[in-house]
Amino acid sequence: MRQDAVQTSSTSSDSQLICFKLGEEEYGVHIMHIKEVIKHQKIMPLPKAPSFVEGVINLRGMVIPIIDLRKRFGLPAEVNRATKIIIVQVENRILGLVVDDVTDIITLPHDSLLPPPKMIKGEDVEYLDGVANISEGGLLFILSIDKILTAEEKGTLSLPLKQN
Amino acid sequence: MNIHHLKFKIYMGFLALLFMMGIGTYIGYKNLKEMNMFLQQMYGEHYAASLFAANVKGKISDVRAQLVAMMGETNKDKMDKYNADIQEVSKEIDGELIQWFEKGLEGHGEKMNAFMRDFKAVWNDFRNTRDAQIIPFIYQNNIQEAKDLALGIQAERYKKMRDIADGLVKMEEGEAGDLIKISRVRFKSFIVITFAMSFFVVAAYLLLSSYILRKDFSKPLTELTGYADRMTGGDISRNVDIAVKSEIGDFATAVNKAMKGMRNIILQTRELSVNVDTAVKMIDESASSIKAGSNQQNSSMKDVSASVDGLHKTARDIAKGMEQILKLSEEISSSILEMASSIEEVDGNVAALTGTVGEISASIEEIAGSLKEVVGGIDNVSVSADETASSLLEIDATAMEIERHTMEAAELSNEVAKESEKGLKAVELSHAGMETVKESVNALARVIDELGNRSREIGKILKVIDDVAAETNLLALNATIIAAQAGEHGKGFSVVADEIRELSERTAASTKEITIIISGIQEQIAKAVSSVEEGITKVAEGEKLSTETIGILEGMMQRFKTFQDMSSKIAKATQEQTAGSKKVTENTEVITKTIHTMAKAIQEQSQGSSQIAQAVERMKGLVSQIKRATSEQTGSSKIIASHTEDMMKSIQMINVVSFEQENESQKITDAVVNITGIADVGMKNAGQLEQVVGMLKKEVYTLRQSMERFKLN
Repeated sequence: MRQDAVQTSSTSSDSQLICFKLGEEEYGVHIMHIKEVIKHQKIMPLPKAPSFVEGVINLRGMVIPIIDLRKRFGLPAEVNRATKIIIVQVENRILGLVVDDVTDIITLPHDSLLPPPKMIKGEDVEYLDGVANISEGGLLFILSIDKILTAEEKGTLSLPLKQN
Repeated sequence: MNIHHLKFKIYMGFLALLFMMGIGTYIGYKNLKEMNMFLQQMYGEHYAASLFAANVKGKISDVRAQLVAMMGETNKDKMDKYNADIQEVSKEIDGELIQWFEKGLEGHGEKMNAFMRDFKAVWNDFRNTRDAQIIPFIYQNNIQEAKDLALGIQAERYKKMRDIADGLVKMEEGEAGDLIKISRVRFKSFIVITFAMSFFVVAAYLLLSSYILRKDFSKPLTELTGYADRMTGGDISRNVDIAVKSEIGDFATAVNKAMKGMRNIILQTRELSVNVDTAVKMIDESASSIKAGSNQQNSSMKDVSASVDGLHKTARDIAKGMEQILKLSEEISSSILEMASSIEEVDGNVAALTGTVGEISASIEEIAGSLKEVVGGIDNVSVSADETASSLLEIDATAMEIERHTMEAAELSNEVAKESEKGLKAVELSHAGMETVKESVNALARVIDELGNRSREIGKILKVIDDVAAETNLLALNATIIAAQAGEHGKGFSVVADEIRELSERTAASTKEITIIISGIQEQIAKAVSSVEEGITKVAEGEKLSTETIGILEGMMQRFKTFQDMSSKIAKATQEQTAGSKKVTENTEVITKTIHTMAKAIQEQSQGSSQIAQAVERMKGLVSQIKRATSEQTGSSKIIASHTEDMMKSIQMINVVSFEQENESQKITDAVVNITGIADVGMKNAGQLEQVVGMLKKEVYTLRQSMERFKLN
């Protein structure tokens, strides 16, 4: 397990990350943003929904809009047995993000987080909070959940669908 | 209906039986009725007596009680009332008595009447004493007197009356008992009589019927059986002697009539059979003579045929010989003509005569030479015939060798057929072995298939485990998330969730490994299945091959059989050929003989020609004389020429005659062949006739024997 490779002592400055895969890349999301991870399930298309919304699912009576991160990252849509939906909370809105697989939970010391490299500025880069060095020379892109949706998109989803 | 017939007798016997039984029943009925009436009467009497006794007894005691009550009374009115009651009851008793006596004393026994009279007397005394003394005493209030009377004489009378009543009942009972005894005896006697009568009637009936059956049926039937036995033995001389007039009698009469007819028929048949026998004997004799004759005819016809054949052949040979002779004579004739002309020339030129004679001599020598050549030719022919004969013998020998070889080949093929049969058996055995192998391979295939199924099942279970591990992993993940969001309080739980996650991941890894192993096993199984399938194919091929081998062997055996058949046919044909070649040899021998005969004849002729040559030599010597006698000779030679011509004519005639003779002999041969055929047919017919006559003889003999068995006198 990679936890052995990283610093496992968890202090208040450490942060826990959920790692998931999208294509060949590995991304991390701060655990505090995450409500739950579920298996992929059938997504009901929503009539007249904004184009970035894939559809909705019913999670224990709660209707949740779903965004396919593969699409958003310009990858062809693909669903398999490992595909998961990460339920996240973004400024009081509950969203589901479709990812390839949830691989791990790691604890990173705060100082091992690096800012995103300047040269890869672009739409994609704006989603990133930073980059973390992990063992075996791999890089983990740390995704900023708040930045996944643009302001306009947030506007269309202005009303929280249901509060727990 | 005939009164002698059994049916009638049975009916009559039955009617008599019914009649007797009717009479018996009627008598029994009468007796019983009488007895019943008697018993009823008796019962009625007994009843009346006991009723009377009871009534009277009761009434007497009533009267007595009233009287006692009256004695105790002082009131006059009441006394009157008692007195009235007493009088009334007394009147009732009187009434009973009057009723009794009115019925008549005859109906009851004398004893009873005596009782009744006693009772009446006592009762009268009792009543008189009471009415005349006691009741007046009571009215005078002289109770003491009344009591004295009542307890004295009146009590005695009272007691007497009661005793009489009791005695009446008792006597009545005794009488009834006697009557029952009597009736019982009567009943018994009735039953005995009835039974005895029935028994006698039935016995009589049975005796009578058995007598009738014996007389009319049993005896005649025995007689008839004896008669039938005699008839079976052939004795029908006598008539059936049955005098009874029953159905059997009728039957016997009919049998006698039939027998009479039969005797006549048998007599006629016997005479006929004797006649037939004689006729058959005659036919037989003539048939055997016909047969013998036809046999003789046949054999003589064969002889004739052979002789005619020989004759024919000889005639042909003679014809041939004659033809040759004719040719030669023509030559001779021409030579003689030449001679004649030469003589004529001599006549013209005597000087040239000598040379001419020399020429004649040379010509004659030439004739002799040509005759010798002819002899040589004939010798050649003879040699050729001999050669032919020897060739035929060789052919014969070769044919025998062929036969022998064919036999050997047949034997060999027989052995080969046996061997191939063994081979067939072996192949069949291997075929059966193949079947076993096929079954084993099929069983193996099934086992492997089962193994594949099991491994697939394991795969399914592994998938379930994998799913559970994934689910557990997800749960652990969510638990970690929740623990993290709980902050410091969730730390402990977070550790546990991590452990669970780790475990689930390890499980997933293990299941993956197992899946790989299982898929490897499945691959191996697939390989095994394919190799087993290959084995099955191989086995099927082997089976097919062995089936083909069996087919080939069977075909071979079939062919061997055909070969055997053919070789036996060849053997037969060879034997026939041998027989044929023998015949040819014989014929050739005949030819050779004929040729030899001809050669002899020609040699004789040759000798004759040399004599001619000598004569010519002498002629040479006589030339000088001829010279002189030429003129005479010219005439003579003319005469010779004419003679020669005559001779030739004769020869030609002979030739014609021999030709005709040949034709005739041919006709004879044909006729003989025809006759032989006819004789064969005749012989065949004679054989059939003989057979038929033999059968006829047998039949006639049987018939006669059958007829002899019948004894008519």
